[in-house]
Amino acid sequence: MSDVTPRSVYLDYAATTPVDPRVVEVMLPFLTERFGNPNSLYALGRDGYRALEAARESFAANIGAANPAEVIFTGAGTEGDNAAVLGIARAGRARGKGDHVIVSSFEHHAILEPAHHLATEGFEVTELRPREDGIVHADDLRAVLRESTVLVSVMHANNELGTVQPIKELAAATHQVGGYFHTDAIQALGKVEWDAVDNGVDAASFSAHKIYGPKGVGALYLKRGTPFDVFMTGGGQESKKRSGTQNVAGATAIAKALDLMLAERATEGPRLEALRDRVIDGVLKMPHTALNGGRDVPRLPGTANLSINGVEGEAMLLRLDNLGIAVSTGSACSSGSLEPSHVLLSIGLKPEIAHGSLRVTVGRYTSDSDVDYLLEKLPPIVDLLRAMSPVYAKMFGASA
Amino acid sequence: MTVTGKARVFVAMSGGVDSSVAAALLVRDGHDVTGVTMRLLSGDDPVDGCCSLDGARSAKRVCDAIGIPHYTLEFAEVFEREVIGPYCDEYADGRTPNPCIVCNDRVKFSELMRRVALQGAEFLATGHYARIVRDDAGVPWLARGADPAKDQSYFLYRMTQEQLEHTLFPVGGLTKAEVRAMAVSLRLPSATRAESQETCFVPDDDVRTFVRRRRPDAFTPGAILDAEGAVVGSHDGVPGLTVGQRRGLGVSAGERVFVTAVDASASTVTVGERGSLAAARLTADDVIWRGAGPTEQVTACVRYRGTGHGATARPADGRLEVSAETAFDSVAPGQAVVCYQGERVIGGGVIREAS
Repeated sequence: MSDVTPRSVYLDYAATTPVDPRVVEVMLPFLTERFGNPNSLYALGRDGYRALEAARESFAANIGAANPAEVIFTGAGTEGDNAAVLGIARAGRARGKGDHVIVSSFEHHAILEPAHHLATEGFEVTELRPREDGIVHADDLRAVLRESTVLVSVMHANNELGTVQPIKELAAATHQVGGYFHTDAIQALGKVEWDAVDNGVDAASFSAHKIYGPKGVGALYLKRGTPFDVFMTGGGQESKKRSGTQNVAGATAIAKALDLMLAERATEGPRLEALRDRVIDGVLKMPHTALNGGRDVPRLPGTANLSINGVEGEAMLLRLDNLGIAVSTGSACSSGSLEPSHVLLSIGLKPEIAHGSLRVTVGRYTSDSDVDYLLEKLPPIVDLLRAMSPVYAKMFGASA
Repeated sequence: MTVTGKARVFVAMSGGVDSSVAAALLVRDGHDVTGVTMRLLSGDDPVDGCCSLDGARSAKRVCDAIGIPHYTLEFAEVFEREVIGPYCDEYADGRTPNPCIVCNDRVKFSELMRRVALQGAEFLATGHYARIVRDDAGVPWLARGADPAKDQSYFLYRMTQEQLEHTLFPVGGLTKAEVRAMAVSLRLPSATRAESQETCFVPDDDVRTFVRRRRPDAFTPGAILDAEGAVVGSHDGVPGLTVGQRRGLGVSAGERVFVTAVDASASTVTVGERGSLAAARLTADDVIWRGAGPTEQVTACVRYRGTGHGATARPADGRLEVSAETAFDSVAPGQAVVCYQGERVIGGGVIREAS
């Protein structure tokens, strides 16, 4: 087929990851011979139940939960985000906690959309802006917290920038006014130090497909005692917190995937950081480029977001695709859009600069030669597009 | 236009049969072809129109079938700014806009052409029934499609020489029947897909409801007058009422009445007999003109698939005056007058007044 190119280089691990063969291996039996419904009483069901609970225990231990019952398996990261934002805010208000909700303005749409929905239910929603460094500072949060704040949701690592947020401080500040703190930890899971008790969060959502697990599997950490209106009702599975027959294969997979992430983090982290820094340094060698978010703030090891002025992201992406290179402008969910990324605008980039952003994310199967290939192919494309693009003339014509 | 050798071509694909066959013909001729669908609407996309997500899915299936890459590109912002907004404003002013002409001019052969050029495309191809012919000096001209029943040159009259140099109309030399037969024989997934509807972004062709949602301010109730100025009825707003329109007025009259004039500033609609619609002279602005003389003898059309009338066209001060030998049945301000010499389009403009 024509989509087959001489070389295929995947550099979009923040969008999704391939399932690690070791994960496939542990989940496969639960799709075939060990297919029992974990809620059934007979042996096949009990086998499924044991596997599900083993996965829960493993996952809970790995995220530092005090109790396995605090982990609810879900059908996606987005589901966990929706369930937490809607469920905690509604139940918290019903308990008399007030109706003020704070989310950062560079959250994923899986947080922003339910937050907007809460506004239609009479909640007052504050969107807190990160600073130019791509960090939501605790002082800025304290300035907008109120006695009536019921929920604060700030992501652990930003999906476009890779900047890691001080959630421990943010959670502590939230608790000072008696509010609950949720974090979308989907990008951070397995990549940075994570301990639910130590972080002090009340809720956190996770996803399998960003850590070499399958799509359509997630988990929600819900600290015991956190108010929660059930999002999905039905047969009462997952301690009545999330109905629907449990995905035993998926739960097994996300637990195994996290196990592998943690087991390999000590070696994989520095390897990815070195690859990422090669990407950053290579791109910054071109004129009129900039790293988005502060360089010296905590960052995910594999994520680089760069502005390449005078070039439209779409034009760059399509030309790279033509050479077999998969990268992203903005997040995968909205890269069909020419609208500048809300994340980049939130840290103060001008729309015309945000248009020319490039997100490169490296991962488990990225090699040095993949980065070589990108750094060989990208500069001529940028040169060509800048020569062609009237935007370039407009932006730099006067000063050149 | 004929292309020698292998060219890099992007095809604007709606998912319909015409652009699908256009893509297949280019592949057959050995070109380096990529399909592209413009995503024109944001939000919930209520319309199953030519450029909806359904169209993009269909286009992607066709591209898979003929083995070429396909991209869906975001155009909602530019489409809103260049087409939908002005469309509603024109109706609010009591005129009858032609959004397909505006889309071709301001979106397809401008922004899309620019964006595919950035991908190294030498040509943008579309599934329009129109042709590009060269004169003795090698200069390209827009010309009627070979199928008189489907000729779409009316919608394309604003194309400049520069745009024509970078455009291909692969089905322009074919009839619709030939295109359908070709789609079937090539087993294209869109071979039997329904024709696209009137205006792709207006649900159920309900213009008044669509415009009312965006320009509620334009719906001022007013009087329906007869030719003598006597009140014969009332309306709840002029947008969507079109010169030449007969139905939906709620006027009880002894004979069939037609809208003969719409005055948005006074919020009045005038009705009259069919005969009073006739107009032989009209003035257009926003003119595109490639004629050389102070006046040109032309064949003028005032609507898509309308009968051409022999006429004298006189461009002056950015306007175009057209005097037809025989009167047009009706002329709706906001529509285009397009002037032909033989098969060639030599220009046109947006009709402002007719008498």
